[in-house]
Amino acid sequence: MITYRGHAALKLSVNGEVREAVVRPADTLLHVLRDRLGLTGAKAGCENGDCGACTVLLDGKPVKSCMVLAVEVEGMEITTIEGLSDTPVQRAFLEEAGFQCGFCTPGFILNAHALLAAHPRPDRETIRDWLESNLCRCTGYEGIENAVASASAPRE
Amino acid sequence: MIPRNLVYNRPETLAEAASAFAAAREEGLQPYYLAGGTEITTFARRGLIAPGALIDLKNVPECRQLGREDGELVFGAALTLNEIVGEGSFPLLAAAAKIVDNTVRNRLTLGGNIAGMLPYRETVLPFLLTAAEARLFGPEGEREVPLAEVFSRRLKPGPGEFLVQLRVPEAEASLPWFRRRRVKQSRLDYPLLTLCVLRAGEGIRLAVAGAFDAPVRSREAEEIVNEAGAPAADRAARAAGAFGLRVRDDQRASAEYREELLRGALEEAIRELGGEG
Ligand SMILES: Cc1cc2nc3c(=O)[nH]c(=O)nc-3n(C[C@H](O)[C@H](O)[C@H](O)COP(=O)(O)OP(=O)(O)OC[C@H]3O[C@@H](n4cnc5c(N)ncnc54)[C@H](O)[C@@H]3O)c2cc1C
Ligand code: FES
Ligand code: FES
Repeated sequence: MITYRGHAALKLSVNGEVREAVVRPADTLLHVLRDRLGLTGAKAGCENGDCGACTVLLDGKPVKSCMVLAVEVEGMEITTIEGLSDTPVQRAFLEEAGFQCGFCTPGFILNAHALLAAHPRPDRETIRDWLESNLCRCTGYEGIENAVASASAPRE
Repeated sequence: MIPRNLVYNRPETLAEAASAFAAAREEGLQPYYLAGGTEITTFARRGLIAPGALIDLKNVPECRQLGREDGELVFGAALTLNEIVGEGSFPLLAAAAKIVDNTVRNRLTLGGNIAGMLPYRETVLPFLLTAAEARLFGPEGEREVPLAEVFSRRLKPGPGEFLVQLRVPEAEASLPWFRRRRVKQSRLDYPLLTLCVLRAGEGIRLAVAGAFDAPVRSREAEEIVNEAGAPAADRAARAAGAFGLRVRDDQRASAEYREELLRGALEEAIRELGGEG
């Protein structure tokens, strides 16, 4: 059995790299990514599971990092927005004007990236089902949905 | 940020989990079993709880079991809702587990939802309609009991005990089913009403969350719904008033509105499953 008390020196696998961080077991993954590892792409919005601004991928699946403790994810592969570069979803967000202020964008892009990995040709219903995990206060969601639809492989 | 420090334990066996819980208590730390963590992290951040130790159940294999065994379907308490939605061997449960959003469903667990503090606990409803058995583990070892013995409005495990699995007779899992979930605005809202129904040989079984301050199955309402002869609308109206519980009345919806939603959903269920046109 693994036990951490006081402070724990964790090895976390982030964006394909092993990173070390000294954390309190009570620290959320969001806090550790931002304030220990300098990965500020994941945003603290509500810290209550509602907005999705803190979304990162754990072993390829989107999770809200404000509700995950860093000590829970040892041994898992963490992907943050800093780990994606020039992906089809990122290009589509630019082309379709999928953002305005950009606060929600890292969360949306990671969620959409995972969606397309799981469902390369999602229908509109599947896109809605996944994207409802994230809130945007600026756009009307249309640009975001269009970006995801256009980044998916061409449908027959 | 979660203000207070805590001790984190990641056991790999049932016995390690129970003894970590006991050891923390011995040390004077307030222990909590940790599953999806969606409630523990958010409640601790807001100061509603102050856990001194967490015992993470996600690496205990029995808590992660999913499948068939001896004519029963086995659902480990630390399965995520998305794992349950994707598996589908108990269709009413798969539908009932499609709450919250897809991202949260990747963490939130069956056991956490049933043992959680919020009053909805929607995933327990399908189990309340079957002869489900609860497998628990604690300082005295393991026990398996009918769910009804340890769940009445909320999960009532013994001191230091945790839920390991829920087991459902396979034959009941494939009964015809009906579910209605009514919300104020968005699908992601807490429910004003969730009705789950199974159609068994002896008639309709029904359980409700959201309308009252805890999830319940009502034999009184079932009796009325299963009366032969009376029109569906009449049975639904009388059954909606037969739960003997105070209907919730708050900013989101009045008691009258919730009761009307319940009546309407019951009528739909009777028409769909009750064999009446
Ligand atoms: C944004 C959001 C929306 C939600 N909407 C709804 C909704 O509409 N309907 C609904 O029903 N729920 C809803 N919930 C879920 C619910 O209120 C709880 O937050 C959630 O179910 C907790 O599950 P968890 O696995 O994260 O549990 P945790 O946070 O890990 O634990 C919750 C509690 O259960 C205990 N516990 C966990 N596992 C066990 C076990 N195996 N044995 C004994 N005790 C255990 C813990 O000690 C703790 O007290 C929502 C949650 C969120 C975050
Ligand atoms: S910050 Fe995590 S869901 Fe809003
Ligand atoms: S672009 Fe501002 S919140 Fe979405």
